Amino acid sequence: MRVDEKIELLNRRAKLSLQTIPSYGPDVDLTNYIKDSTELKEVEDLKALPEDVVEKVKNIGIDLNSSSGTYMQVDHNLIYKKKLYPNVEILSLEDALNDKDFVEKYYWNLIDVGQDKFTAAAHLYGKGGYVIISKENSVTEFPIQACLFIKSKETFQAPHNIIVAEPGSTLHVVTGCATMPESVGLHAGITEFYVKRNSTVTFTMIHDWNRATHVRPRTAAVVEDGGTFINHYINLSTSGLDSLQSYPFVHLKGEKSRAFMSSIIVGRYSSHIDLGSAVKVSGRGSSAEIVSRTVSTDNSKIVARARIYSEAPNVKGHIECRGLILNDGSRIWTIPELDSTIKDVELTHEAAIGKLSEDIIFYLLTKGIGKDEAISMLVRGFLEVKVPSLPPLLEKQISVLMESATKFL
Amino acid sequence: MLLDIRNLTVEVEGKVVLKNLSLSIGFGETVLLMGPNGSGKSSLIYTLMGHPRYIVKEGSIVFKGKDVTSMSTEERVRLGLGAALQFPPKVYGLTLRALAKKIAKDDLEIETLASSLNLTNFLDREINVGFSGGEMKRAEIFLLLLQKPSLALLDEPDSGVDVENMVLVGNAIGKLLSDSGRTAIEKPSGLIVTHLGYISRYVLTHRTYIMQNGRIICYGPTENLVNDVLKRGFDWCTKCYGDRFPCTYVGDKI
Repeated sequence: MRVDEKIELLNRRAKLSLQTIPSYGPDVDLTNYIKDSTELKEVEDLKALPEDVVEKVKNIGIDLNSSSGTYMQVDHNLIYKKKLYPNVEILSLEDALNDKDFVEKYYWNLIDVGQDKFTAAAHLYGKGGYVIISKENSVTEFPIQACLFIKSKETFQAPHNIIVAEPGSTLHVVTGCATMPESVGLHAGITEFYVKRNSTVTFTMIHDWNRATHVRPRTAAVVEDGGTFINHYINLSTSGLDSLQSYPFVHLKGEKSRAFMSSIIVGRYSSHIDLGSAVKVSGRGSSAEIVSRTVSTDNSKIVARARIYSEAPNVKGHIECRGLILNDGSRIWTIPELDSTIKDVELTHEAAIGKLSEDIIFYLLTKGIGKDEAISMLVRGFLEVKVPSLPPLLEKQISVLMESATKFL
Repeated sequence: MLLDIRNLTVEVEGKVVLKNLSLSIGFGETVLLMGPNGSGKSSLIYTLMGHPRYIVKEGSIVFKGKDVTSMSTEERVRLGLGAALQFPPKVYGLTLRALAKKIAKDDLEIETLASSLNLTNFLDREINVGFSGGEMKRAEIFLLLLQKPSLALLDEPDSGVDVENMVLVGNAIGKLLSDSGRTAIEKPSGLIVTHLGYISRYVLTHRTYIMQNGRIICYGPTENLVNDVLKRGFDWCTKCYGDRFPCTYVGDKI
């Protein structure tokens, strides 16, 4: 198919799907959001950013002094882009789409544009997005940073991001997404990952939305022989959010490929969060692990989904869903699913929901820890997930972030 | 008087666990509390620390001249009560070091103390997760030493501890309770619960109380009581009625 034919087909299918209600999560009326927002100009130095933006990005793990590459988008404007590794390309999607070969190989190949109204709207009305390509056998030590920010009122932010790890390369990406307190927004980013033979991608996403934000990211990855995809999602929503629904899908296509998907979710106020990970395993000898830690407070509702489907032998898969309900009236619902058409697999799951143990709180009180601090320490401990392959610096950064975010619980 | 417990009756989920119990500890004093399993020794520790499931029905607890009977655990700890529990819970996600750092700011003190209790390798492990019985005891005493309470409540510090580590634990408790760096009035006091009595070899105690069925039935000098009880069992104590000087029998005469 020619590139212009592909685009034409995508447009047509998207237009037909603008009313398609998604299978999960509450519906959102798109007409409230699809308007023009303030235009911001690209800046030379991240320090030239508006002060309120600078303050907010600190909460989502973006280091403005980072010696690594950075991409930053406010609403739907690219405002900063910096490339530091010679072996890692950082492009805006607009630039990347000039390359016909790229469009054919990577554009909308993993996610159906007609999946629901959000994918359709993202294609038709979304702007911006980053493309990160790590060259063959290259290794990044520091994570590439991408920051997506909603600042204007009633904004529709739907960047389309594409990440390609060429064979044998190692790439770490950290993405922070946030909204300014006064903004009202709908975020429906599209992200496609192409993890090629023997390459490793770690993708850490930190969200800090406000109470008037709806979030519907659509994410998919394909992993080739010997490849590893690690996705670590953190939503501490210090200021809550309205609703979030996402169900990233990973296809372990290659032999001995591997996926690790973790989500750390704190639900506050009346947030409705429906989040999961699904892995389809077609490559022999592959393994998948899905881990979630959820904490619900106030009137929040969290659905934690997880699904591993295997159609290849010698596959190992494990799902671990743990939830902590801090008060009555909030809700956690875990839905772990295992599915196989092959007998030679080892698929397991464990799920547990409970409260903080009174005996443990008492124990910490006897050691002179105040009650509020004891609860924070226990929640913080509960949310700890050991994510494989993360650079130590990023691990430390996440740890500091979680420390401060759980203080308010 | 540092601690004065008067006629204390305590219930847990409607069941009486302490009956009309009176006991007092002076400044700088250390006492032993002995009794068979289930006699209410640990219940007394939980009650003194203000565990919400232990409901005081009658009587009072006065600590440092203040009535703490209905005070929260936080307030009691702030006043100077501290405990090493018999069965401390496993605390997932929180390392021994992280908790130690909340109690004591001095890293050197933490390292030195951990080393003296053979706990250096446990500092970065989750509290009590995968610890043996003896390791848990040592970790509890380690935290209590950092806390420096005015009254240390030690629940069975000598059970489940092997011979080599008993020396470490015994000496550490001895050090905690004989802190010579403080003035007499600030010298820490101790209430040590034990059913084996080994700890009395390491710590100088002022007297021993014997408990049975939620009551104190007898008290007297440690050297007489501990040896007799270890030789003849607690039943002997109930039959004695305090006729043997110098013990004082305070239980019901049957």
